[in-house]
Amino acid sequence: MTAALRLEGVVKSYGARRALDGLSFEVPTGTLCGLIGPNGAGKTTTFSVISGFLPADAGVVDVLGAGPYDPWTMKGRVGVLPQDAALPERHTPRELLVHLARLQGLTASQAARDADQRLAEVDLGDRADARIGSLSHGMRRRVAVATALLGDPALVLLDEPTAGLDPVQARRVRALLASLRGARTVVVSSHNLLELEALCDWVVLVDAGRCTGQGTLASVTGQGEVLVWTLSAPVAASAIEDALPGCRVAVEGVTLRVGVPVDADVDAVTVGVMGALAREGVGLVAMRRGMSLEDRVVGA
Amino acid sequence: MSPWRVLRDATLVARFELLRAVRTWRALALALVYVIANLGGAWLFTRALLSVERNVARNLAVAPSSRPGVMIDELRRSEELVEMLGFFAGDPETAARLVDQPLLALFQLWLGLLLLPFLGATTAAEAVADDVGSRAIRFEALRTGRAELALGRFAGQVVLTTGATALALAATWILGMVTMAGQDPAALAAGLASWGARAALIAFPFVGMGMMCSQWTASSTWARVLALGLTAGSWVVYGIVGLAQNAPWTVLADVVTPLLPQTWIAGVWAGGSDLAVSAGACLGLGLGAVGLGFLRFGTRDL
Repeated sequence: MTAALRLEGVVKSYGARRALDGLSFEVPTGTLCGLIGPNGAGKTTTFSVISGFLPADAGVVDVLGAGPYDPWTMKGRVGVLPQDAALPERHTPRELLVHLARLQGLTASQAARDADQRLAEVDLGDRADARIGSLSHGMRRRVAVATALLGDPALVLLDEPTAGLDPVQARRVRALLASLRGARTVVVSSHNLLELEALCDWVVLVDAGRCTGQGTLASVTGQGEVLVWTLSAPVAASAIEDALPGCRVAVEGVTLRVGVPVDADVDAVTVGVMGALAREGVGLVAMRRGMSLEDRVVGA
Repeated sequence: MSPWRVLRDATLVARFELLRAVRTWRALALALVYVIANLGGAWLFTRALLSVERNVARNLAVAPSSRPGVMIDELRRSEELVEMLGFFAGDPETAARLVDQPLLALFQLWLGLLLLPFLGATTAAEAVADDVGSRAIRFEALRTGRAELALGRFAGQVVLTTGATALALAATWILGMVTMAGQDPAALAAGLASWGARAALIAFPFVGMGMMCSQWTASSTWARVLALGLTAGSWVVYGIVGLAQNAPWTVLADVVTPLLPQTWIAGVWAGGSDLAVSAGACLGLGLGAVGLGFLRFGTRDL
């Protein structure tokens, strides 16, 4: 596994407050990674440190294996959607994108072509020549997303990319991000855990400026370790335990959780549970492998 | 980091900055203020010239002129004109050498020396500060170095100030041709370009000072206040160091004086090698101020 992004012991303070307190994590190349944490966990600061907007007080930041981000040597290789960064209101999206693409080193014609392509991807082709100040919040957000995808960045950092977007546009942006999987490394910070669960194959959990967990979505949510069933009616835990010796069983209302031992066959456990439910005459509404990301993060 | 790439990026940033200035009416506001101030000042100057000419006519016992410039040859030989130019240039010897120059152009230089530093400094104060406060600068900072950003924004402000100066001079040329008699269009244009450009030269360090303040803060309001304070303060300090008579104040004055843009105004009036020295000093002071601001901007949180 080669890491597109590696942070080791990164510290960043604002006065007396430590926003990042020895943060360490890795993001493998080609993954779509979710950076998850509560408000004030340090996600935005993390993005800002990676992008070189904020210098780290201590620690190692390694971007694309070339050390800390340097706009000269890595120009165009990293795309960033900063949170709450205002767009120049008097310019048009096309003007802004062409300017930024040219700063990335593209020629005028390449920049114009790339800007039009990015605007089309975020469904703003017809507003390319409108003043940014005249666009809605959601449209401005999409312009900002388009700036992050300019050129051919190997690493894309997106801070709340779907914040303020309507459901249709949010879905479109998610599809756009999903299409980048494998070709680019994408790190997404969002409070929408359902969105991240659907999108990401790698997650990094951050709290109080520290990494509290990282890995594939499957490993972090325990997809090989826990089976969660939603039943049509409550069932006695003992009825399931009898059928599945060695498994931890917990029933809470109509939710049945089965902990699978490391050496057990998950499919065999699944069949065993279904057999026990049939014997008890309890129907099955839904089944999921592992915890939801929300349960994992919130700690349910 | 090749110089060519630095130049390319700084040019791109400057162009975008200029486009923004035009779009936000900042350029128009600057030009309007400067043009109106210049036209108003130039008109008053032509009235003053007319008054002096009438005095000259009275002394010569000839019919008074109805338009300024009718008695320009007699005017150039009058004591009153030399006194007026002495007031402008701050030195009677220099004034005596200036009497053959287009008078409106000389007045433009004097007015420009008064106005342009304040206009340039306050306009340049907006170059970076607000974008740092709103984080808009992050879009560009990801794609180019901070030095290129600062240089580009500074260059944009210099072009903006120069453009406003050119517009004001063009307006003054029209006023001169309409209200003054016996003006040679080419000579007046050349004079305005030559002397007006010198005002822009003295404004350069003040634009740099505004840019410095803009790099220090994250609010253009604070940057403007700071720039105005420093600009006004530099005149005060210039006045104070001129009063220094004894050591150690004279030693301190010797150190401070070259750092004040006002010191180099005399060279601008004198021309020749003095002008070249002043130009070099002004360029150095302007770039030095930008560099001083960059000490903060280059390492600050964006």
